[in-house]
Amino acid sequence: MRLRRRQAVTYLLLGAILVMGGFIRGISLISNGPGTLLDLDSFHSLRAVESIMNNGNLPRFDALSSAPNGTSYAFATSQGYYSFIGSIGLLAGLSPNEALAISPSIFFALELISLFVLTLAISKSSVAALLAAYFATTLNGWSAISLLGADPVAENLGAIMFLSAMVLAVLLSQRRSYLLVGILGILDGISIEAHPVTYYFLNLVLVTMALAFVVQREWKKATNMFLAVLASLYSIALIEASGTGLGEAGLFSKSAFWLASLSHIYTIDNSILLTEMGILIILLSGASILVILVHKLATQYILIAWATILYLVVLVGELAVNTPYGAVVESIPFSAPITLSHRVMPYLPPVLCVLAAIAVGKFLVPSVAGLSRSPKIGQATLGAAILLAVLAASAFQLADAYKFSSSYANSFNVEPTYSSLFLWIGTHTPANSIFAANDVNIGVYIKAINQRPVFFTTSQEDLTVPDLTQRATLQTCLFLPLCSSNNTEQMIRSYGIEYAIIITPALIINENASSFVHFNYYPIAGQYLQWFQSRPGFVEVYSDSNSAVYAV
Amino acid sequence: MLESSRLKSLTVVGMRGIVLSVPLSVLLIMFSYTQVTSIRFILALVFLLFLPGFDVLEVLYERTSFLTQLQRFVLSIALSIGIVIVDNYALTLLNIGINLTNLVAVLAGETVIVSLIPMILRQMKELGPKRVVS
Repeated sequence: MRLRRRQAVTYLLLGAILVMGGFIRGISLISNGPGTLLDLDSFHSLRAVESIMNNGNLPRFDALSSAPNGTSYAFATSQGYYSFIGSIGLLAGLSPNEALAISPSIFFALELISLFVLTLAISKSSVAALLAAYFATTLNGWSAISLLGADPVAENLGAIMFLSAMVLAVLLSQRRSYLLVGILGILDGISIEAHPVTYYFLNLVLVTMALAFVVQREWKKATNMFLAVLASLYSIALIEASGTGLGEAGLFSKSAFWLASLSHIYTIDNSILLTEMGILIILLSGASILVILVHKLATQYILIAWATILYLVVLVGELAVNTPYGAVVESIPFSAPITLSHRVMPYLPPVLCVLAAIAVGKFLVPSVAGLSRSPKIGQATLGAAILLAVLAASAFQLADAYKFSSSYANSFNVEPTYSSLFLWIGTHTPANSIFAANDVNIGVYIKAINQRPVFFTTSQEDLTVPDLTQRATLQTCLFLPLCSSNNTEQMIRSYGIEYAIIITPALIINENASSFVHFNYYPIAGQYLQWFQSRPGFVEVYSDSNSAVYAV
Repeated sequence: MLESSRLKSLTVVGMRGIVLSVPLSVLLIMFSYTQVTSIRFILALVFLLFLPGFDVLEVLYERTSFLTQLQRFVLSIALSIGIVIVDNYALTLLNIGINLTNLVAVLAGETVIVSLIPMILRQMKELGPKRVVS
């Protein structure tokens, strides 16, 4: 009876955490409405989901990216994610926008439940399990965007697949079952359909866990883990059968390094990790690792293996971008997720949350409560006091998470700012005219909203091209006064660019200096536009307070 | 005593997949062509995120009886996602196309069929040749 009551209280608290976290991450959904998409990736996903819901299949070739050539790489990855969101839309009767905008909240709730179950399986402590779910709601930054944020990215689905696979890995570390090996292999394999990076990091973690078992001479557990990784290889056949292939992934490693060198925001370092996770979680997870190692708690070693390998990714990524060893990292096959190490954030923070939660729920609370000798202060009171202290200490981080989510919901909703520009493009330009834009991101919106081909953006489909350097050079020469106009004109003609868009604020590439130039003049005017118009062959055809279009 | 309680639990297990899948599949077919978005949304979540995986775990119940209810729930979600992705692959590769009718047919059909498997397996066991212990 008492056990049941305790279980009911646990589920109630889990429900409360889900509601609280759902509120924090669902601010965009609440304030902007269910049809509003934030950031860039969601607009890329929108095109794929629209194609599935309208035509019944994914586009194989994307004529709108890397114009004028087009690319088959645009939708070669994350097909499972696109088709899953398309299925939600079709079955629930939602538009592609709505299906995408609602999806992060659904996946977020499932991620928290998975994290709860994972922590419970490894710690056998419901206090720790609840704390892990609670800590996950306090994250912000990249970890919030990819793992728990309002941005519909494929990693939302990937994070659930990853955590479910980790639940299985924990169960496999506790009992021998070939059925579990099989299910883990299946889930591991299918994770590539959510996002290739999920598959990459999942296997990296599983192999490291297997090696941890080898070190402990737990041969059977190590074999099971390796078997699951081997079983997951069926997914490669699935990808080949779909006809997309990952042949251009090698090119993406190069372009990822190019992007990471251009802007360090895509590379996680220790300070970013500390800011996003909060000092409390970092300290507690560190303490947890120490306790596990000092007391030789072998059942928890897999958590250390998980945390160590992914933290290593952060360190190598930092090394690649900030030291001359970048070329070495670049030459490693499939090194893109290492150089663009923000991709690790859906997978590293969960283990730190689990470790921090175990430090409190499994190590600290029981041992401090056990010290209670005074009859006046009961063990339960002491335990509750510690928990309250931890919750109070994490309140700032929770407030930061709320602030982050609010500002994300407001500032990343770009569509209304340029609505008149998008309207003009849709009504005044031919369907197949090629656009170039000073800002490296706005092309993603033009592709999704206006269905017009775009010459260059910093999205993966536009970067994974053999002539990346040439395109980046033209992008620089077109929008910055750094090159001879004859050469620029020739390149513009060779790529068939018909319209040049200038918006403010904008992020312009300077390929010569390998950097970004911030352009922020409102209302748009002044010397820059005078220079732009002074070149022969540029005729202004549209302008408003924050954008202008030139026919080339 | 133990044997009888195990048999009883297996009876419940054999039936609960059917009890959930058959009526929900009927509801899915009934509501999928209406404008009642709230019910369609709930049914979509059930069929995309829970039921297919749950039915598969029910088939494997005897060999996964050590899983707690919550672990079973999480694995049902992950397996369902996997099954739906493979379904979509099949619909695309077979040139059938991903649309509402095909999705409803595939999801309702496969959950009903898979939910029947535990009962069929038990029937086959009961009808099969009995071992004679000498």
